[in-house]
Amino acid sequence: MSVADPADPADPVQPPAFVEPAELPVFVEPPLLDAVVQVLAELAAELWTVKRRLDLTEQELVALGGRPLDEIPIGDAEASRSAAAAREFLDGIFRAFTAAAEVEHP
Amino acid sequence: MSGAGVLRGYRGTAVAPTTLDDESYLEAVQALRGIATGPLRAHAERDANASVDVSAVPTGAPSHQRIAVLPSVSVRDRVLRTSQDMLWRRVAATYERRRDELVDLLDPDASGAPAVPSYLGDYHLQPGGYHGDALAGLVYHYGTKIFWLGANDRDEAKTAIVESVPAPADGEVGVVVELACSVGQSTTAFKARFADAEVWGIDPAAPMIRYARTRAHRMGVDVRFAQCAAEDLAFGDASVDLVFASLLFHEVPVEVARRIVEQVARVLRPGGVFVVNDMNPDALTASPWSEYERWWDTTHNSEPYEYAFLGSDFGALLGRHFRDVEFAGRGINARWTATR
Repeated sequence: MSVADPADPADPVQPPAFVEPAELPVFVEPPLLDAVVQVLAELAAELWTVKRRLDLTEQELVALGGRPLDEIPIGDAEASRSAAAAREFLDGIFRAFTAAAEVEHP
Repeated sequence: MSGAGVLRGYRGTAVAPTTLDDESYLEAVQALRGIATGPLRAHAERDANASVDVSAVPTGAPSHQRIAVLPSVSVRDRVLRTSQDMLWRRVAATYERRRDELVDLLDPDASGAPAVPSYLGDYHLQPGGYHGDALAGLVYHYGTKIFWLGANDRDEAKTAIVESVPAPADGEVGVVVELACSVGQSTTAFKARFADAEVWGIDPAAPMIRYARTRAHRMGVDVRFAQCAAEDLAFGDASVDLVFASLLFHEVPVEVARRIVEQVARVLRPGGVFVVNDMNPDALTASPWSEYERWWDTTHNSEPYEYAFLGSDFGALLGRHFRDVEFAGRGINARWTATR
């Protein structure tokens, strides 16, 4: 039984060096990019939709008072806060994506 | 507009989405658009401008193809396009859930209305465009609420633009006409500014006019709307003091633009003013990215006449019909102020 030498780049047992996402030269080809973006965007929007329900404020729940969820009287201020929170939420999801787009190219 | 059709009230001045899930989804779409037009665009712009010689801005297919394949550009393009597709799909779907009630709330459709101009398209990828569906006005209003990223929820951006419109030098403002008024956000702002004036909004799309009337009535603003193409103005010669057109001319063929300018020159009285807000032609030469972005908008965001408008020397067209034309361009936005 031999032990691989981690210093030997020719050693097939050596694990590949970790590559930061931002160092990837081209991470997906355009046709795949289309699919990735669409799936990621839809997933992010649906995740936010679920989170939005889970994050209903106490005031909103009181206002709900047994009425159907889709009749919650959300005010403009709450809607604005929610829109800002959505941006923060999606920023997190797309941060890796953005980093990939920051790649320097010749 | 009030009643069962708007159970969840309003978001700003737009009818709220029918369900909380729809509203939440559209918040996410707005956030996605913010990412595409913010950080992703900044990266794309930097890479595009670095990829070609900025001292000799190339145009045409070779330049576009070279820029389009840059990873940062292709990501920006795809995310922006996806956000547009998601936006219209969900806004249309949310109002579709209460279609009958919402249609009942609209101002009645006008019988004998003029035919829709054949050149109208599905602008900005809105399915059916401005004219293809009775609910197009509601859809457009919420869609543009997202487009503005929350900066125009209460018409504040439109109102600020109207406040900046120069009035005729003699101060006489008896009749104001807004061309291609869509849902009438600027039209109602004009009435707020010129309370004693007769203020008209015209648009070739019946769904926009129906919604604009309903919206103005709900706001208690006394303005008049008519379904009418800007190239077929029904106003008498020299009968109007101020004509305003915002983001109209890049959405019509150059030949139609010529006819519109002729009509405006006809209806404006001596000393009357024609104010045009639209895209800045300088965008075609400002930088490789700037030129690419306008081409992309033309070909991928269903703005079929945009690129031709930018290259058409619109200022010269105005100069042939008005005694004085002032131009002010800043970034993507431009304003022409033409005095009759």
